[in-house]
Amino acid sequence: MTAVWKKELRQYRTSIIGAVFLASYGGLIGYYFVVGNLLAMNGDITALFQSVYSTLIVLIPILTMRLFAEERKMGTDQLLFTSPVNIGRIILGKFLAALEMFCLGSLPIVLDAAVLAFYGCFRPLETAGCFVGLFLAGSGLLGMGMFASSLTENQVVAAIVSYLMMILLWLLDYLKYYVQGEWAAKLLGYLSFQTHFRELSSGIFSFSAVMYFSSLTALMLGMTYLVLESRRWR
Amino acid sequence: MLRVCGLTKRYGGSTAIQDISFSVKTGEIVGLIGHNGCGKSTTMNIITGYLAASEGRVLVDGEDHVEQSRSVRRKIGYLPEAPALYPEMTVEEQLRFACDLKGIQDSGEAILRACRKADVQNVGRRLIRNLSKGYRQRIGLAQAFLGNPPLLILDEPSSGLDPYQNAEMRDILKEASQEQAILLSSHVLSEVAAICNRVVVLSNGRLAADDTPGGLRERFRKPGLFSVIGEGGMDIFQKALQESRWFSDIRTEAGERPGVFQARFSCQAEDALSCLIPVLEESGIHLIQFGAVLPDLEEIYFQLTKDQRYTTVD
Repeated sequence: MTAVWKKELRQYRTSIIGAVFLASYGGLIGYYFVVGNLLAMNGDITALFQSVYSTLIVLIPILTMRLFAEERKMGTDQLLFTSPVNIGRIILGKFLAALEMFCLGSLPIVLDAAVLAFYGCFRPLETAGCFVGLFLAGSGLLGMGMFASSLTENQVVAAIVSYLMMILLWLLDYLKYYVQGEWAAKLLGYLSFQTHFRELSSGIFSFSAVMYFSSLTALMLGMTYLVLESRRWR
Repeated sequence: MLRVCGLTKRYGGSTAIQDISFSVKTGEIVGLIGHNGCGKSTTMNIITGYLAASEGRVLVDGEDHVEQSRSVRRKIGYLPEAPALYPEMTVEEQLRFACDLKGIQDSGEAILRACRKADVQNVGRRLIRNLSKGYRQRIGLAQAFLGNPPLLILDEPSSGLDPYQNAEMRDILKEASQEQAILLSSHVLSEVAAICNRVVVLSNGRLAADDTPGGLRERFRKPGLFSVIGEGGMDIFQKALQESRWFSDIRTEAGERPGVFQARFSCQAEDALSCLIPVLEESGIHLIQFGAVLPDLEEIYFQLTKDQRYTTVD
């Protein structure tokens, strides 16, 4: 697993994708902070976290689209899948590398929080909750992107599938106003990405939200495993 | 070292290979040949664990690929048809990564030995994307050599190499075969005949033959077909053969040295040499070589795979 993780980090470091992700993510975080907090003279950091989510939908597929699609296209998956490392560890190595990049990209938010704290607008628990929410939501989205990447050898297709999955999950929230029956509305409420993300990014610690994002990540990694393993049998 | 027993692979409704069985011993180079789509790569992919077999078993050093997958994978060095290399890495980075994947402890020493074996010591710091196809092939080979695995699976190792590189590759493989078992696939039959101790022919996803090149030649020898290399008058010899009632289908051609010629003919007599001696004496020919005409591997291959190209087992 360490070998794959190190290799992925090296590839992010040396390829244009890593640089594009970090530059765009950092730039957008800066923009949201300046416009939403500094210019608006708003000391509430939760506003920044809520804006960041829309950015994640756009940027995370850039980070994940190549993870398995490129390996398959280049034929380097033959090296990975014939090595003594099992598929689960390969998936985990790649996922952790992408997660590390995501965390690295999120570092400017720590700086923003520090600036707000300097001006006396710092609520530690709320801010910590927001960071946990961002981390968990990011993991879920990275899992989705990785799953999409395992489905195809075309990176563009992988990115489009990721966007579709993320947008569908985001739009699920609006369906609850139209479904009949209390249980259906409850189910949609539980499946809603928005609701859970809103809870965490507002600084509310919600166990169900933590479970939701953790389960989503585990489900996506599990499905990636099934896709890759089933390919051996097809 | 390698035993393949009753291997079958089905893709949906079609069968790629059916009931393939063969073995490779340490010190042996076995050539896997067959037309495109006959199942060579599928067989190799199953042996390396990249694909799972629908039926059958693969045993490496007595260990089952399904039950002891991790241990088996450590014992295999694999060069796929297109070497599995990352273009943005340097050769050293690539080989170090492969060492890490294989769990090789002393990667520096392993890389040095593999590079020496594949003769690529001088390109360690170069980016793979900047290397020629021949070098990439050899880096792929060095990758397969890492950790000195007892079994090497090489899918078309000479693909895209020029004649010099081809000859070098042959030498590398011959040297490696002294302590390793090698299974290689190739479309270059002259190369297979030159370096392989045994040949496994696949046709239409089934095993068509498994024998030594000599054994195959003997098996496919056309009875009654002989050749002679002689010195003297070629025309007189040809005329004498034509006049004898034992010989037919006579073909002669001049040899490389002046006065030396080659002749091929059919003889229906049980003891062809006894019939030939009077003809030689009569025409005053000095006999240099006499023997039965054995078909080359290409002829055998065509016979074995005739009319089977581009069809599936089903």
